[in-house]
Amino acid sequence: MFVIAPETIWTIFSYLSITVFALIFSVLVYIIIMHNILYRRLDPILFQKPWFNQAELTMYSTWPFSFNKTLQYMGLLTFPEYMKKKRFKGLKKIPEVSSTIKNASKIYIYLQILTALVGIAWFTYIGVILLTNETL
Amino acid sequence: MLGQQLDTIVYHVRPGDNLTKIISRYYGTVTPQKRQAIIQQIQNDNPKVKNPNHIVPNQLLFIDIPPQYCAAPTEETSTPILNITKHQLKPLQQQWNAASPKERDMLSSLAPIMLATGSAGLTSIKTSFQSNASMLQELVELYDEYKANKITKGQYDYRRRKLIQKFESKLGPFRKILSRKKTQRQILRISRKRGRKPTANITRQINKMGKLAKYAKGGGAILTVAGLGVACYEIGKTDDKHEKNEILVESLGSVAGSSIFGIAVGIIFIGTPIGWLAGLAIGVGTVLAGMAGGQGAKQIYNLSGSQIDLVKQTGVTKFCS
Repeated sequence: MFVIAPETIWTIFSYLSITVFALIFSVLVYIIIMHNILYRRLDPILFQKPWFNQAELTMYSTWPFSFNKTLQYMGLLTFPEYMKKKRFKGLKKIPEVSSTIKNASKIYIYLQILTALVGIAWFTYIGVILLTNETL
Repeated sequence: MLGQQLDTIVYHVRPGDNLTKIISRYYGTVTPQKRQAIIQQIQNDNPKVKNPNHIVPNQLLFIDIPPQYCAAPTEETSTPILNITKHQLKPLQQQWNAASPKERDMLSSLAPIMLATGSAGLTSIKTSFQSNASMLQELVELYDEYKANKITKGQYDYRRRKLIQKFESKLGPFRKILSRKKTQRQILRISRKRGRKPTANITRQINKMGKLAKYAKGGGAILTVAGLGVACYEIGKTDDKHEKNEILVESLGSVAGSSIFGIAVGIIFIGTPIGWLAGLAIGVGTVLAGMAGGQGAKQIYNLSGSQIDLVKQTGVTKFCS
C-alpha cells in the first residue's frame, strides 16, 4: 500500500479531470460538426435497412442517439473493410466524400479512442485511490 | 420589530398549524423569550387571534419574517418546479411536482435517457403524421371536385371511403392520439353546420396533426437541462462552503462519468447493431456511470482535505445564488 499526500491526490485528480473535460468537450464539438456535414450526404444512401435495423432507424433519428449514427458513418470512412464486415454488409461502394471529410473522420475516431482511454484511466485512478484509502 | 429588518407575509393557516410551528419554520430554533416576543407581535398585527394556542385553518395571518429566513428542515422542501405547458408532458410535470428533492435528482438523470427513448417513439409519431397529413388534404380536394361536379356522388363516396380506410391503416396505433373515442370517419365528416366551411373538420385534423408533429420534434431535449437546475439550486440553497463544493464536484464528476461511458461504449461497439433493449441498457449504464463518477469525485475531494474553494474560483456561487 502506498501513501500519497492529500494535496497530491487532488492535484493528480485535477489534472486528469481537466484533461478528461477538455477531451469530452472536443469530442462533443467535433461530432456535432461532423454530424451536420455527414447526415445530409450519407443518410439518403446509408440510413436504411438492411444496414440499420428498425430500432436503430427510430432511435438514431433523435438526439442524443443520432450521434451514434454519425459515428457509424465515420467508422465506415476510417475502417471501411471492418465496417463492411460488421454493419454495412453487402455495401458495394463506399459513398464518395472528399478527402478532407475522410481525414476529419479518421482524426475523430482516434480522438474518441483517446478520450475513452483517458476516461478509463480517470475511473481507474478514482477506484485505486478510494480502495487504498478504504473510504468505501 | 425585534431589532432587525423584516418582511411581512400573509400566511394561510393549514390544518395542524400552530404559532410555535409557524415561528419554527420561518425563524428556526429560537429561545423561549424570543418566541414569546414573536407571538406577541403576531397577536398585535392580528387582533382576531385572541388565543395564540388556537388558530383556525384557512385563516390568514400577517406575520413578520426575516428576509432570508432559515426554515427548519421539513419533508416538504421547496424545489424547482418544472413548468411545462405542452399537454403531452403534463403527467411528467405532475410527477416532478410531487417528487422529493432526491427523487428529482434521480429523475433528472434518468429523464434525458427516457426522453431519448420516448422521443424516438415520438419521432415515429411525427414521421407517421407528417407523411399521412397529405392524405387529409386529398380529402379536401376530393370534396372540391365533387362540388365542382367533376365527379359524381357515387364516385365521391367511394373514393372518400377508400381514402379514410387507407389513412386509418397508415396511422395504425397513432390514430388514438388524434381521437380516443371517435373513428377517423366520424372526425373527417363533411360539416353541414351553417356558417361553417364544409371541410372545417378535415382542416382541423390537419392542423392538429401538424401541432402534434411539432411537439414530437421538440420532445427529446426538454428535460435535459433539469439536472443542471437541481445542482445549481442545491448550491444556492446551502450556506456551507464545504457542501457547496461537494455538490459542484459531484455534479462535474457525474457529467464526466456519464460522458466517458457513452464515449467508451460508442467506440467499443462501433459497427454493432443495437436493439431497443441494448439502447435502454446503454442509457441506464450511462446514468449509473454518471452516479459513480459523481460519488467518486466527491470522495476524492473529501480525501484531499477539501481546502480548495472551487465554487468561488469558478464563479458558480454568483450564478447559483
